[in-house]
Amino acid sequence: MDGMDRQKFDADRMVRERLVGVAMPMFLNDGYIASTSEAVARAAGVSKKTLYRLFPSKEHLLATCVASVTAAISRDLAAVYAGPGDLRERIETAITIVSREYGRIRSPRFLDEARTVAPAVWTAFTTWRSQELARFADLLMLGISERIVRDRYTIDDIGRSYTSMIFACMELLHRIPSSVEPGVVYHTFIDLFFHGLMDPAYTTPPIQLVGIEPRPWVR
Amino acid sequence: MGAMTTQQHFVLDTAWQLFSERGYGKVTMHDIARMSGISRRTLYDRFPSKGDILVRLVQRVGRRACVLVRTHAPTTPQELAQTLVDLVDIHLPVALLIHGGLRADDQALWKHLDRWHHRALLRIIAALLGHPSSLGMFRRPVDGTVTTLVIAAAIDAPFLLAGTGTATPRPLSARTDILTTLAVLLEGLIAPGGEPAVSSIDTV
Repeated sequence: MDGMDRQKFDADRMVRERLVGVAMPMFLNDGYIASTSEAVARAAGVSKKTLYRLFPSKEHLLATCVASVTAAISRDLAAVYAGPGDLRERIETAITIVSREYGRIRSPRFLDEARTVAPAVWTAFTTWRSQELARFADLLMLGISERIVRDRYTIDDIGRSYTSMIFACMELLHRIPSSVEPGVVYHTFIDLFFHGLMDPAYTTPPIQLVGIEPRPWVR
Repeated sequence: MGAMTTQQHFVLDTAWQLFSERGYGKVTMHDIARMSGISRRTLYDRFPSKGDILVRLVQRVGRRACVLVRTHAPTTPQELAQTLVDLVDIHLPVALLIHGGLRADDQALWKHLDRWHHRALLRIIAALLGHPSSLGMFRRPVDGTVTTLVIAAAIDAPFLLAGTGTATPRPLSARTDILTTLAVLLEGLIAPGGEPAVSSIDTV
């Protein structure tokens, strides 16, 4: 690469990074569809032509945005998994990392739009997420054996419950008009899921729901 | 809409049984009249359409759930657990009816009922969680609106996921799945001990 090419390459990389930095918050705040490529280019101070030279489509831009977020989460989580540190603290840190990212989603449409309009990005995201969940499950298993995580639930139950709740929250917000931001709901869900709604003083004896029959007149 | 007569309640009971046995789409007004032992004319006098019957049924269940929450304000975790189980069992058959075949049979009616029943569910959970006797059991001042949304999502999770292509509802295990998720949300996955957990919500 000669000097001129090198310069152009570096300049392009900077613009690419700027576009990703500007686009991600726009997607999260206003949704993927509402954030048009014109608006993204304008906010980044470049022409639409430049945007399309650097990213073949808006979907490519989204893919790059999502990849940069997931790579950052993976890096942070990898540091937690590698240790050292107290197991309880490591579990708490991992939860905080995930919760913080979900907390940034402000548009009730963002996830659903990514799923329906940009299926390739969505598939890459869900694949990444199941890999990360598997790693997190290993940490939780360790927690279960050390009695830090409640041992009443199977890891399978925990995973199914967690995943379906993320979707259920997304879907519920999609269906009912609500002024509550999705990020706040995800955040609260993750907090309740790991720390519980009840004051710990009220959780001994353990709370069991599965074995309880409804009151006779309910049926 | 005034108070319903015994006959109207009886018709609703009959319709409920038919809908749950055959599915909403396969039941006709004629079936409902015959099984209730009244003429079609009388039936149409009381209820203008099959859709109207379904709406009234769902509303009646909603009222029942309201009464449940109002008359059984929980004062212990066990009572809270019991009331949640009751709520899940009141909600489950309605959810199966609305999210079963209705979406394919009558999209407009489905949309209306879906919205209506979510609103009712949110109101009922808000009343349950916001009751002064429940508040003392909670970990800290909770944001009622958001917590209500999360609990509602848990109660409706298998049905919210139906039709989104993310998962199919499995009615047989739906009840167990819902109750498991609710138990986790109540007590938290991480066993208390050591330093009190720093709430991750404060870091935002």
